[in-house]
Amino acid sequence: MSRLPQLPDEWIDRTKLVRFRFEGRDYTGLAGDAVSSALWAAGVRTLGRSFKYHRPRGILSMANHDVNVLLQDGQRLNVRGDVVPVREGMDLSAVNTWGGVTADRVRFLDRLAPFLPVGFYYKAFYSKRWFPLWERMFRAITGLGRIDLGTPHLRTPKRYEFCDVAVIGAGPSGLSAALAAAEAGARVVIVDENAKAGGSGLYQLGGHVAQRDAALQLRERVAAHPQIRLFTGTLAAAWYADQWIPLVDGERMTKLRARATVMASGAFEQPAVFRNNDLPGVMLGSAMQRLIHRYAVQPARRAVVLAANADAYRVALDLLDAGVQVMAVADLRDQPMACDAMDAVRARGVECLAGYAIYEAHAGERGELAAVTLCRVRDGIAETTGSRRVDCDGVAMSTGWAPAANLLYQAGTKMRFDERLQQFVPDVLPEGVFACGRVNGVFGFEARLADGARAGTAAAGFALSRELPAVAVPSENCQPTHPWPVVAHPSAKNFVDFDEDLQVKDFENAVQEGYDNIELLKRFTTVGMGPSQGKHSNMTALRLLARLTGKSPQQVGTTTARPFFHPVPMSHLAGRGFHPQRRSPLHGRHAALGAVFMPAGAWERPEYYAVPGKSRIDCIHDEVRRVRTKVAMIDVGTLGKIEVRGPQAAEFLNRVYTARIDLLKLGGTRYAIMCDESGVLTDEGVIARLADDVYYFTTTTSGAANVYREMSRLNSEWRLQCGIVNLTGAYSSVNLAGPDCRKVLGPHTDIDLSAAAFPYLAVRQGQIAGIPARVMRVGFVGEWGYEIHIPAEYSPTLWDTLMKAGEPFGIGPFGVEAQRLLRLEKGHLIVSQDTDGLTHPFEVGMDWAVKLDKPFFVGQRSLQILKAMPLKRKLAGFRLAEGYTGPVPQECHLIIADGEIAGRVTSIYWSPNVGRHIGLAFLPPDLAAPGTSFEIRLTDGAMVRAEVCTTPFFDPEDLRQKELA
Amino acid sequence: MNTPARVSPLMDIHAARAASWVELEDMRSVAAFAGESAAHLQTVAIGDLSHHRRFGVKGPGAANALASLGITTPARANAWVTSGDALILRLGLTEYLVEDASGDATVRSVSGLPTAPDVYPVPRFDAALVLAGPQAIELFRQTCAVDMTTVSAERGDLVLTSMVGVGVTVAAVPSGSNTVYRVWCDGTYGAYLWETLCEVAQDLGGGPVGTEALLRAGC
Repeated sequence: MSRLPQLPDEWIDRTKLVRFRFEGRDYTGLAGDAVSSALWAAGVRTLGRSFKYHRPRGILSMANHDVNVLLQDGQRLNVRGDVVPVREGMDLSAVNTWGGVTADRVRFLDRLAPFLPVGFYYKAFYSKRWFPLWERMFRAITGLGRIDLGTPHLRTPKRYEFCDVAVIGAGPSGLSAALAAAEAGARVVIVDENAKAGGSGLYQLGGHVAQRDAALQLRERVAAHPQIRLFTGTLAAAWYADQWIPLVDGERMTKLRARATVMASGAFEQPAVFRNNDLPGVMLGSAMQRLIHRYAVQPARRAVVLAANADAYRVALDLLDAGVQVMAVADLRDQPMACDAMDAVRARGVECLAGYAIYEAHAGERGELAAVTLCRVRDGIAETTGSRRVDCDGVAMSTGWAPAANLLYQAGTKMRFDERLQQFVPDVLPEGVFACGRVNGVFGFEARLADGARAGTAAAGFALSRELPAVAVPSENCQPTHPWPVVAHPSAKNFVDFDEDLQVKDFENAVQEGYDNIELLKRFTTVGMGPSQGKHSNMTALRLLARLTGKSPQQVGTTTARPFFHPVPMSHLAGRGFHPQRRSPLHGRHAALGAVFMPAGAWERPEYYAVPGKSRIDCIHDEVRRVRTKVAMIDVGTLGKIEVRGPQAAEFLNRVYTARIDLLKLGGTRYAIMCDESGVLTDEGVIARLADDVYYFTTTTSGAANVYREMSRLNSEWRLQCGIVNLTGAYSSVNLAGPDCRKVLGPHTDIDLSAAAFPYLAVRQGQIAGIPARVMRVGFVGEWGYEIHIPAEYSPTLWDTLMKAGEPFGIGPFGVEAQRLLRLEKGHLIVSQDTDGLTHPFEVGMDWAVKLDKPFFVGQRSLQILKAMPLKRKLAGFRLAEGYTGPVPQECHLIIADGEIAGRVTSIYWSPNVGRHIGLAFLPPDLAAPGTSFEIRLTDGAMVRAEVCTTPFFDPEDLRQKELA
Repeated sequence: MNTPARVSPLMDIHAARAASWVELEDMRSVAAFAGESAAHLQTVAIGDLSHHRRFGVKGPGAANALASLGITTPARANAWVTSGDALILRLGLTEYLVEDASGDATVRSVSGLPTAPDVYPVPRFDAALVLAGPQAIELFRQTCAVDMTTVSAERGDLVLTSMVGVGVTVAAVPSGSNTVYRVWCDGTYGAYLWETLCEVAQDLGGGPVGTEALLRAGC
């Protein structure tokens, strides 16, 4: 092939040479060349191998859909040769080959095609025996490129953009729409995936210079308009509710928020189906026109045009202008609709054969197109008598289009099949969404301009809430798409889907096997599931199914077009990660003390405090020992902290919690649980009554936001006179616990800490180190202790004060793991660890916390029913045998009884204070009686015997909360 | 007993990067960061104003309660006004955030409001930031789904939204002939928000600035 003389709107820079390598050989292209155009200009026609049969493939579309020309560029995978610009120093190789694109050792698979029928992949896995073999083989032989796990994480920031009207597609209709919308006063963003705007107005010319001039002028007006921003090289990858459109460019993903959207996304030209329609050299007519007008590359020397519309004749004219010898135009139609382009082609001496098709294409020695057989065709059946062979190195397929309607579908557009156009067109558009141009079934250049102006004006009117005059669009009578561009052949290899190497017979067999619904057919054949996502195959597949089942295309319908409709680099999706983390105001203090942090919901909490030379478990046991024998402090500021105030605060909490909150005495606290409507235990905490109409309470760390949200929702329904204030972030809290805690706290507070003045489960307000504090005497860890709540900005000051005050008593911090062990020794459960999404209070022995005789509380009715039913499981304490030294069960290990799963372990620890492994487990009621023995299955299948026991495991009389203990 | 020290929610992350400190409103604040550049204010600068005292109040009677103290409140939801030197933000329909300018006593009077059945005090622990400079809008575009070009300082607009996944209140406020953006979030998210915004700002040629530079810029 060769370069053509300079063209008015070519994309290449002839002054800049670009050197690159392909498959180990050196090549030179021009700046602005796509990889494929540079190679084609250099005479390279086999650019890749097909996915399944490893057949040689070349250019198909030059429109970002050439999935058989996926290249590896160092660490970059699946570089699309048809659109990615060639860069200096690129070292490219075709993916999915064994030994290179010309000498692919796996090309023998093409000859095994009869043994690899449709559904082979699924059927291969029927047999458990052969499953591993097939899995290994498929994994080894498939895959598109080699992943380099050392590839750096590219930080591609996401971005938001905003506009009144978003126009998707900068072809003639899109440019016209953008201009009309902007003229009406709208802020417009217009996007196009191509490097330059103008679309088909600048390459589907057929010698029509005036069209090119008009398109160029339109492009210049759009570029100069102050109300319009034109983003080229940018793909509108999806459409989401409220007019959110992700725009993907080479660097990043931008989330565009528009008030209205104009879909001017055009149409995908569709391949015709005939034997060997995949040989390098056979391509879409529009691909040849792109090669000519964008890259000034002659697509072929001698070409045959397969036609079924006027566009084909424009292709023929462009080829002739590019010096290509057009051997013949084979028109599938018996009586082609007359058009100027056809007359011009005939006038230039090209043989035009009506009612003819390509029966098959023939490969030369290198497996590339060398000739075609033309014959008469009637409704897809070739009449081979009288057929003739025509030598050529190029075939242009121009037989029809399919709308690029993916985003329209995602927006919820109701489409209908237009028989004249042989295309789905918008029937009912969603509010704020407009369509124009080919995707709207309008094909003529002038008509597209008018249709764009109509849609742009309407979109601006919608976005700006203004009445604007309607724009008229001239009617058309063109027939751009042939209803059956398929030619049967007994030897098959007439491909429908180039991604997955699907042939016509694959669809026939699939329907025969019962996959006669478009969704089933898609999944069984995998049509449209490759990288091109069916852009060149779905419509033909739909036609095949319609014909095989005797339905119309409308009846068959289309498959779902999910976002994103075109592959997007993972780096763009990952982008700059936003993963909000909460840090306690004491985070720096913990870090300075050697804290090893663990995630707890959105928080980072100290799991334990590392001590040099000590193991994790030793550190945890030291922290436990300190709590039991001296004094220690834990940051519990991550707990949810909520205040309810107002005359009906008690009534509100009575409805939310299962306990009688209204009976809680002033200055007292109560452990309470809440359930959802189905009676499932959802959260727990301690409620303190600070005044007659003021309650302050805690929630679990992970439940805080949900509890606050649900409470707000409930009170918007109940309209009780009270206000709910979320203090989770505004307040901080620590738990000072251990036998010496009073000695530490006493000197720094004005609160009387005596047992008589401040008994167990009381709350007091006062000052600690001059800081206003709410102090609760609670015993989650089973020691005398104070949970101190203060405004968060004073939290480090309080921490420093108490740590200093505690030095003479051997104070130290303790982390989450020590706390979990300590509470387990007391038999206290943790919601969401010792409960699950179905646990109700009666299963965990919290009958005492549920006051069913209250007038109402959330979940009451369900709990009344559950109370009357026998328990199915029960949370019980257990322990392993004394002196047990074998492998230890873990949380979630299963309890097995009579060979069946009977329950599971929810918590288990070695307790230094009990001297045994202790835990909690869900058990069937008949196994939950103290003294009952049961078995726990370990991960490796080994069984460990355990025994049910009563809880608490430690200090069962709660003597540690009493003065004389 | 001495007045206890207030500690900024951003104290831990500032500690490693501060070049000089200043005590403001009983809170240690960063006067200047190490490597701080005046150029940040020409692109996008991020400052910490957490030291300002603030308090919230909400409930059906909140507006009247504030009025009883002589405090002007915004007439519409999601707006701010100044009352004396204090900034009064109306968050939704019946919630207000009051932030003192340095040395002001409005917050003290609000936090001392007498108990009333329909007025609920809302103690605050905010990381309070300011974003200034011509690239501030670009920083929002990379971190927030709201079009900040439509948020007017002249109208006293504020928005309740999220930045980098964190719930924030953003107010456009005038600063000379420019607009700067005040951002408040729950202090426990402050470190994450600060670090993430600084990272994005750095990509844009900006970065953190201390209170000295903010003062010079009139923020």
